[in-house]
Amino acid sequence: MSWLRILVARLRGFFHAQRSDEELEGELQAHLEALTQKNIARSMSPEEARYAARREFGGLEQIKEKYRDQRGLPFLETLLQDVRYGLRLLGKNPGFTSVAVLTLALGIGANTAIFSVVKAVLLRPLPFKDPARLVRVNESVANGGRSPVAYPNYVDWRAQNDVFEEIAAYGDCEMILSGTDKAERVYCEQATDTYFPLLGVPAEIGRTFTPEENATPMKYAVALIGHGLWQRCFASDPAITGKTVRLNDFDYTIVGVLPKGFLGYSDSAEVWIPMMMRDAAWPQTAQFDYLHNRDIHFHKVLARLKPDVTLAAAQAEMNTIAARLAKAYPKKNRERGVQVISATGDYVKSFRAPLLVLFGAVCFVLLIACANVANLVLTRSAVRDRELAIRLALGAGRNRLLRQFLTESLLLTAAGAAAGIALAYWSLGFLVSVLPVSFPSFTRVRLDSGVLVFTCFLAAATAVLLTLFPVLSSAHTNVNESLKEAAKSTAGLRGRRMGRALVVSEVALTLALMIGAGLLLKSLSHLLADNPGFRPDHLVTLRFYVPDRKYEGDGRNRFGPNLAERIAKYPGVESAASTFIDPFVWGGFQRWFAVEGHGPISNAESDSVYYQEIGPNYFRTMGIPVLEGRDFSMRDSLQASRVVMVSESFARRYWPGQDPVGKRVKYGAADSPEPWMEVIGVGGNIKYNSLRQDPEAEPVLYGPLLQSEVIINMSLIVRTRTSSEAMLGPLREEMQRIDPAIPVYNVATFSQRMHEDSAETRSYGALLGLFAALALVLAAVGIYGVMSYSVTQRIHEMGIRLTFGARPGDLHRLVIGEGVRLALLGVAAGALASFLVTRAMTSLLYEVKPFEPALFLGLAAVLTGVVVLACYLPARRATRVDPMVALRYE
Amino acid sequence: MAPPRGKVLPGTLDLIVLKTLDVLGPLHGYGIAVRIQQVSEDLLKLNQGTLYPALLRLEQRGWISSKFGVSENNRKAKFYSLTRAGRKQLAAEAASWERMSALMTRLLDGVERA
Repeated sequence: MSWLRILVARLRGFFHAQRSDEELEGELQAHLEALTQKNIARSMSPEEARYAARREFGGLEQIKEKYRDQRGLPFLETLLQDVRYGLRLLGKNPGFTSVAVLTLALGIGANTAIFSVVKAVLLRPLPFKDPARLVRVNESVANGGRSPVAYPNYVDWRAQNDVFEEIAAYGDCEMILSGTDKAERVYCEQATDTYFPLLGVPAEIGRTFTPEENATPMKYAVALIGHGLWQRCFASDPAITGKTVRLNDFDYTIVGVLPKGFLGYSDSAEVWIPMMMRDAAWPQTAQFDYLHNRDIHFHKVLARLKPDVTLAAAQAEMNTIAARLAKAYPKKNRERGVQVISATGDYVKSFRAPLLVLFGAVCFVLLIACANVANLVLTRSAVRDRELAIRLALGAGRNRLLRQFLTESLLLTAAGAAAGIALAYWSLGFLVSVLPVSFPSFTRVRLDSGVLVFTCFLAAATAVLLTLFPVLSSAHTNVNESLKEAAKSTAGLRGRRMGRALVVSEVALTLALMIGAGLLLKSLSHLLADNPGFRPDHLVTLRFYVPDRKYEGDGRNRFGPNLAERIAKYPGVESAASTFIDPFVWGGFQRWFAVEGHGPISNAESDSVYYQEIGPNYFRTMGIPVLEGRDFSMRDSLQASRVVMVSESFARRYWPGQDPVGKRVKYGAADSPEPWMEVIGVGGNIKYNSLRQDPEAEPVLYGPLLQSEVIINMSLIVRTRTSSEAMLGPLREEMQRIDPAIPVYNVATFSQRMHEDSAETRSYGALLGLFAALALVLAAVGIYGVMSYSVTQRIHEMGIRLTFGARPGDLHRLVIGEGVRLALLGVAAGALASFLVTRAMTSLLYEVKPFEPALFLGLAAVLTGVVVLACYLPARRATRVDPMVALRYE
Repeated sequence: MAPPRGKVLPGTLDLIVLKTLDVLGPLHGYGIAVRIQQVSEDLLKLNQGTLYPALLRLEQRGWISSKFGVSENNRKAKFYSLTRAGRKQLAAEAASWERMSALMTRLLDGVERA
């Protein structure tokens, strides 16, 4: 433990330095005195004796220095000295310090905040067992798209594969929970028994599903409930198992409660029933025979890879199985492949692109910030050239100076990082509230230690970089020359070259950011300005559930249209209609159909388009023009002949140049037993899924609700006479008055829906715009700094030019010309950079191309203008130079 | 050829100081310096000042301790004395020095004979 003893001794020395200094002084003086006395005794004169004693003793100050180094903690002492010196220096240049700290804080703060979000959303593993081996297995269709899975295919996959440790299927849907205080809509997953072991989720109370419960259809009416529902509707009853829960008017025995926070793979479920109970939940759809029909692609399939199986190996195996199934079921499984993808990738794919774009943007801002600070330090190092030279001449070691510079830079970056972390902490909440994306429920965005380490690493790297600049530019400086002050030519030249490189890169980065933001904002204006095809003002939507068991015959079909008729009479309502879509939330499903007299539309002998069922008056209520024929009426019932309507783009696609009214289509292939249905009218194209939708590319087939085979949930669309928002409450109440057992949910005005739909683009655009503005300001400051520095360096040159008759205009041109040259170089580099950036953004853009010449030129001009302005001020200073002063300076 | 006035070999100053204190008992810095000069007969060229950082180092290691006392000319002075750990260290270092010195002697003798 001798090092400990030494450390203690040194620590003591460190803290008692002053007393010990006095003691040492006394001791050394006594020694010198003794030596002197000895010499006098040898008959030297006192003067001589003292000199001889000094010689014999050695350098007094060096000895003291050595003694002090030995006594205390020289590393710490030097550090404290440097810190004190650094702080004093920073305090003396408040302008420099605050600009540098602020710049760093902005860069680091924005970076930390965005990186925290990126890490929480993209890098966090899914909250399931061993998420790295969890995969999703989809069916793939001929055009490269993917589709949900038909249950019989899942059964075959399960039996035939040996690459998966476990494989499970589930379906998700809305259900109405009743029998408790108030009927409410809950999300439900119908799952196989393997689903819970696969995700590694045991029941908190009771058990999960057994293999028997997954073997026989309609035999085991059991259910699992989520922790939240258990608390909310069952008062956290510890003896919950064996009790009943009523879903879509069917009773299930609760066998277990799932742990807190678990919402299924769909991340929204609160109730689970066995796959085999599907038809109990949706008796209306029993006719489709989900469990045996290879044409109903509805289920999602999850699997866990065996430990030594790669994704590629699993894909290869599944390809073989898919080929076998296509052979066995040539009609049903024709051109159906299998796609195996990582579950994590599947989960985050919709957030990845925008978050990475934002992350890229803040990285650019950080780069600009660092360039600026480097610039500032560089500029200042020129001023400090003389100081450095003097200190070198007085015997300061280069390493010692390097260390001191490093300490100063670290101080600066530490301050910047501290301010940045504070900024990040403050802005993170703001950021999460501004980001429109609903992240997965298990995402917790907060500043975590990993991010802090990352930031500190960034700060440290910046510090080292900052240190390299001034010391590199001084390392080769000859002390004598620097003192003579003629050395500016070499150090200055290097500095100026560095400065120019910084200007070019700042312009490039800023331009790329501005173009990214510009494209997004332009997309946004397109989104908002584009005609959706209907009149969105004064329009309200309310969703409700039509109970199946209460109604007989077409009573169920009439429920929605009848309700619409009643609501239409309510004061303040202009008209009302029903539809089964939930506008901008759920746009109907894909339906396969054949057109009479038309050859097979695709290889699969039939085509699929969006299918929507609507009640009478839908087009009038929505404000969609009926272009040809007529709208559905109450007479188009189950008893009447079968009719459909189509959208404008549908008519254009299948009957170009012909009158679509009177043509016939049928569901399924042309030889299917379905009846032919006559087209009675054509409605205008509208956007109903999202504002980004291209209605021309997505034709719609409309069926009448009154002739529907399946009535489940639908929406009431109401056009109001007065403010639609004010009508939300009264309308909801009126629905409850008509039938209190009918849960009403998803109530909104169309403006709200469309606002939400554009929110993503809006806030990504706003954030990117903010970053671009930040970058522009930082770049302007940086360029101004570089140009000022450059002018300062060339002040004698300017003086000489003036003496030889240059006019102020010439000097302006000289300085601004240099700025413009650099700006143009930067613009060229920025064009390249923006090409990379905008390619990553394509999924965020709407009706703009990644390269928009007008936008590009406009922004390049703005940027060049800013550069010219940033050059103008230093240029003006250059012309104000008094030639005499400038020359004398030399 | 006159023997060169040697510099103090690295590490030997410690040994010299420890041995001096062992032989003479508690001494102040000047006393130690004088003694070293006497013993070495001025062969060792030592800046006497360098003694002090060395004394501090030995004290930090716990081999010597210091105490204020009164010098022969009635002045307040710091007296250094050997501790038990110092005595042990001295024995160990002396032994190792002797081994090394014997080795060097043998080696150099061999060289001369060859």
